[in-house]
Amino acid sequence: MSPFFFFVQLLNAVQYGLILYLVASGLTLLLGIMGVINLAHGAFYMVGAYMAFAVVQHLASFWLALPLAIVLGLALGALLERFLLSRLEGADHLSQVLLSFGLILIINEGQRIIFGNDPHGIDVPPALNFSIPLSDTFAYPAYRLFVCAIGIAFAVGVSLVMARTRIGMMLRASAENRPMARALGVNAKRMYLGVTAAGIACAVLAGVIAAPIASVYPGMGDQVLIQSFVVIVLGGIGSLPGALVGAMLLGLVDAFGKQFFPNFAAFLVYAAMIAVLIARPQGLFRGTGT
Amino acid sequence: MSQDRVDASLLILLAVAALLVPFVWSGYEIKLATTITIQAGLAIALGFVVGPAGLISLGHAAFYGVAAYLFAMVAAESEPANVFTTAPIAILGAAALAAVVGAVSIRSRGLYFILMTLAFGQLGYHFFHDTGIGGSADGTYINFRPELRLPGLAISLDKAASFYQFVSVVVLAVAALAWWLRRSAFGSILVAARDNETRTRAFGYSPYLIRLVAFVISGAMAGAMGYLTAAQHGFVAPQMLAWQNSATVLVTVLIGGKDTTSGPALGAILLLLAEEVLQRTTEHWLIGVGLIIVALVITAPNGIVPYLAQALRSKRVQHA
Repeated sequence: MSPFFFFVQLLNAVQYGLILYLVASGLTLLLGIMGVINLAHGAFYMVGAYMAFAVVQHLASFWLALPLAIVLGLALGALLERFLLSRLEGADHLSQVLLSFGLILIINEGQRIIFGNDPHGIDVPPALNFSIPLSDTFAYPAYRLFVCAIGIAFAVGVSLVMARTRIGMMLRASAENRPMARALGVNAKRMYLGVTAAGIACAVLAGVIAAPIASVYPGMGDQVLIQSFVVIVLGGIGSLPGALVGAMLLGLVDAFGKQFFPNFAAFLVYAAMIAVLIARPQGLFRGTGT
Repeated sequence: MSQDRVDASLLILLAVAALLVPFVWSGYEIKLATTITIQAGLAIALGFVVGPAGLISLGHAAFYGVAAYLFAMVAAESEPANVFTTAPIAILGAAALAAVVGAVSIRSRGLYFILMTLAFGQLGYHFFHDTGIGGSADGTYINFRPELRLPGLAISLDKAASFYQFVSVVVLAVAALAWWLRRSAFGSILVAARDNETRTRAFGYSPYLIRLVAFVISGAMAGAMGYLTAAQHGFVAPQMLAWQNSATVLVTVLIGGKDTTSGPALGAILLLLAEEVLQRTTEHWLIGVGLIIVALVITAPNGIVPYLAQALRSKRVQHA
């Protein structure tokens, strides 16, 4: 096996892992801080991908989709928290599972009404439509490197915010001990609104970024949702560094599994998760466990 | 009325309705009633672990599907199989799988448990989908509907009405068992372990073991429903094991109310009837189902049956 082949697979693993991290970080924060199991997270990822498709079609620019994704995601997240999640505060956590399941059906069917059932491809933006040669036979697409760069910038940015800022401190405190953080003056209402809006925005943004790599099709959020849950369980619920490690692990299993055991790649992901949870029932990093 | 009495009254009501169906309906409707009754049974099976045991399983489709595959594998190709010999194999197989999955998963709590069961379910799905066992993605056929055969007696279930009667008897038996278990000492210990593990342990019970037993019973019930589904359609496919199937059953459990026996059944009946009606009116019926679910969660977050019990209670308070 050529070292370049190995290197290309490694890059694929990192790139896929970073997209998963983008989705999973919102999911793990919602869960760790608000105790919300948001099954609709994958559906919001799909919303991003279809938005990218619509923007490229009608406005002829992929780049416009990036800021629009953030605005749309923040707005959707804020609406979700303000009008639905906040009504269920204090109710059984399972009612939020049910709510988000209903949302999946609504979003998926809304997508079918607007865009139909056909899968769509999105062209890589022209500015990045070239490959960087690694050797005589191997080259790596520039767009995928761009995805890696965004993912790394996001991971660094998030860890700086979490470690260095007041907001990060309040988030960590809330993930650790919600009632205590509230008692010490953390405004729960505002924090819930912010976390939901930011979490959904990340999922929508991930959908936009992934759209030129994966094709855009109905139900594309399902797999991402399940894999994101695997990621946050591997890493430990509520832990962002854990989610990053979990996402990289899953990226590796996915990329190399597809190469060496093409029929059993999906099998491997679940087997790996069961193995980790047998050894460490609370995930690799100690999460909040809610 | 207390929640228990509302629950019991609803169960009796549903049982009477189930027994009356063959006198009112025939043809397509009785097949629909068969499907709904089996789904109600599956919801009751899952509700038994989600409610009293507090174990939110997203892997029950695996027990349901494995029993169906086991039946397809042991059923003879050229004559009807005997329910009394094939059903125990299917149900025991599902129970054995539930024992293995439960033994490993119950050590994890909360979301970790949900994801463990989901992972096992998906392993089962990919086992039948990718390995070529049981016909891969195409599934496998059962050529004859099984019949009830004892020495000197053979009851055919070929007619839709007689098969429905068989299904409703099995599901009513499962419902009665679940109701009795919830009210038994065993059910009380389950609830105790869910609400306060430390105290339950101090009384000398092992929460792990009790939960495992509940999980196996529930898995066996789900297996019985898988057997019935396979017998109904004469066809088994990997989709029976997919997590979406587990999630749909969990949704019916939560809509109806997980802390009751009639709730999950009622949730399944209402959701499937709503689907049937919506499907006739619009191609985009799923959006209607989604809106119904969201509206129900907002008005009755703990489920329909607890909501009913609450409504009846406050009415009485007003009268007094």
